[in-house]
Amino acid sequence: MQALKIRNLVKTYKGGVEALRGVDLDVPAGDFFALLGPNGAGKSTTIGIATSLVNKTGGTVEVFGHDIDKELEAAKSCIGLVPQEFNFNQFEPVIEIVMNQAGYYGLDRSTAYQRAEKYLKQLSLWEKRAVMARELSGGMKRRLMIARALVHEPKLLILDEPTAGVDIEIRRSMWEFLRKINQQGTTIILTTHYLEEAENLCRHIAIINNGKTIESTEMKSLLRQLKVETFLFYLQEAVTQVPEIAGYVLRQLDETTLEVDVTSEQKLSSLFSALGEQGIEVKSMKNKSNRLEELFVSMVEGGQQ
Amino acid sequence: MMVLTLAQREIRSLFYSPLAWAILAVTQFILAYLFLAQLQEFIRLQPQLRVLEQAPGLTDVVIVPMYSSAAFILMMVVPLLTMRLVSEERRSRSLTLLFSAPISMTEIIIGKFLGIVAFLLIITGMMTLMPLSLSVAGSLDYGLLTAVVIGLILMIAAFASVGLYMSTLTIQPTVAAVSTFGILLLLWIIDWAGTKVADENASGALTYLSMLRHFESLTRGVFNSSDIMYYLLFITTFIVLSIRRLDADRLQR
Repeated sequence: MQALKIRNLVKTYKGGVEALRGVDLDVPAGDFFALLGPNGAGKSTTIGIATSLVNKTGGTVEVFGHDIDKELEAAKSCIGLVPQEFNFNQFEPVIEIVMNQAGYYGLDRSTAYQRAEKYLKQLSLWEKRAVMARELSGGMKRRLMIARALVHEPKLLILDEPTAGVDIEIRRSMWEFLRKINQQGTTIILTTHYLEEAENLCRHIAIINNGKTIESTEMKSLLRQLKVETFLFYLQEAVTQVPEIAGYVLRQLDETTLEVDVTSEQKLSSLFSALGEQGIEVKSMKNKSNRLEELFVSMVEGGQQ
Repeated sequence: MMVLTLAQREIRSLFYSPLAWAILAVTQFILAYLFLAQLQEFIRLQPQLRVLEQAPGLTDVVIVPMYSSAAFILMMVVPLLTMRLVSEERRSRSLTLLFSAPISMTEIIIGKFLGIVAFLLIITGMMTLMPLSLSVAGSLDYGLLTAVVIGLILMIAAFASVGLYMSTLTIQPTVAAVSTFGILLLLWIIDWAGTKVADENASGALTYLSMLRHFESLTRGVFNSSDIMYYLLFITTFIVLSIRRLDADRLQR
């Protein structure tokens, strides 16, 4: 069963702007799916159409088998949406915001209260239930948006930049929470500009550029496409000149830091051995940039050329 | 069912805002003052009324003028209550939340309308307690009281329908309030313009459009079905316009 199945989705706005020019997407049920793309690529339009906020020009969209042209209400009931911007009444108490949302999906007040309690507690907002939304911090408002989207227990949760402007501690706790609800069976589609977030959380990924799907695959197989990775080595002791190792290109950034390009055929262990033979010990290392980021940039730039 | 959920949400959110409480308090204070002033007038006139054969009673002298004044006061108050109904949702982007939920545009509009009417019924109910308190010491014309209360409810529901529609047209609540008040005032005084027109048909049409004319017959205790139909048609027209406006808004995206 596909949680979201999109075929040849086209959207042309008034004035002739082509936002989508044939997007195809398959999101398996239970998946944690990343939808990436540069600004203006068509991610928000795609999500907007799937959630009935934008009208499509052509193509088909099915949410858990419900075609949005034929069974719109059923399709809507399957989706919980966390938009990028805060879109609640700032002068309403937290619990009312969540319970009202439950009401829109046909839940009675007592069930709505139980669900609101459940999700506000899980997102550490229960203590703030009587507080007006405007008094919450940015991170709390983000969590409130997630609690509100989950209150009708949708099968598909769509998160548009859920951790934008959230500090690292709250971001990590939100990742944990999202992992948990995904393990419990909720399909999650995530759009984010933090590629580290997508790499950490998602099993499948699609990249949209210029209104078209340029890649849709498993995260692991996408990362395997990376031909060259650049690492930074932090050395135990300072070196005066760049060591020469056959087959590797090393650059010295400062006395104790080396930068090295490693192809997918090369092995890090042989590089460490070669450095060790020259009396150079590596204290720690890291990727110069996020692996997904490198791939993303190369794909998007490739698409634009 | 969904309509009731939306109406409940609307009325609850009204009570979270200080504006609603302030409106309730100020309106009740002004109406209480008018009620006491009319009562004072009735007491002053009583010796003269006693000698008349078919003297106007307590209801005619105290209650009907109070309800007529209340209609005028509420014409100014209702735009303040309705201005945020849709425009605020649009401004805070929470309208998208309603669009993405399994709710139809009709349910959204009718729910909001019923919510605001419920609030206006609270004002009417609190106001009606004052004339009812007179029944302890005097005799009331309950038929006339019922007619005037129904007239006021229909009138303020019509005010609310205009306010709701104007709120769907703009993102600025103040623009919605001012334009609602302008339309209501125009419809209030339009019969005055009718008297200045030479053409009988045009004059008749303008008089028919006047909200005040239809309310006046109810304040005389005349329960004319054409007056009731006028208000029901008026309300339906603006509700349908609001639904169509919201639908157009969604389809344009």
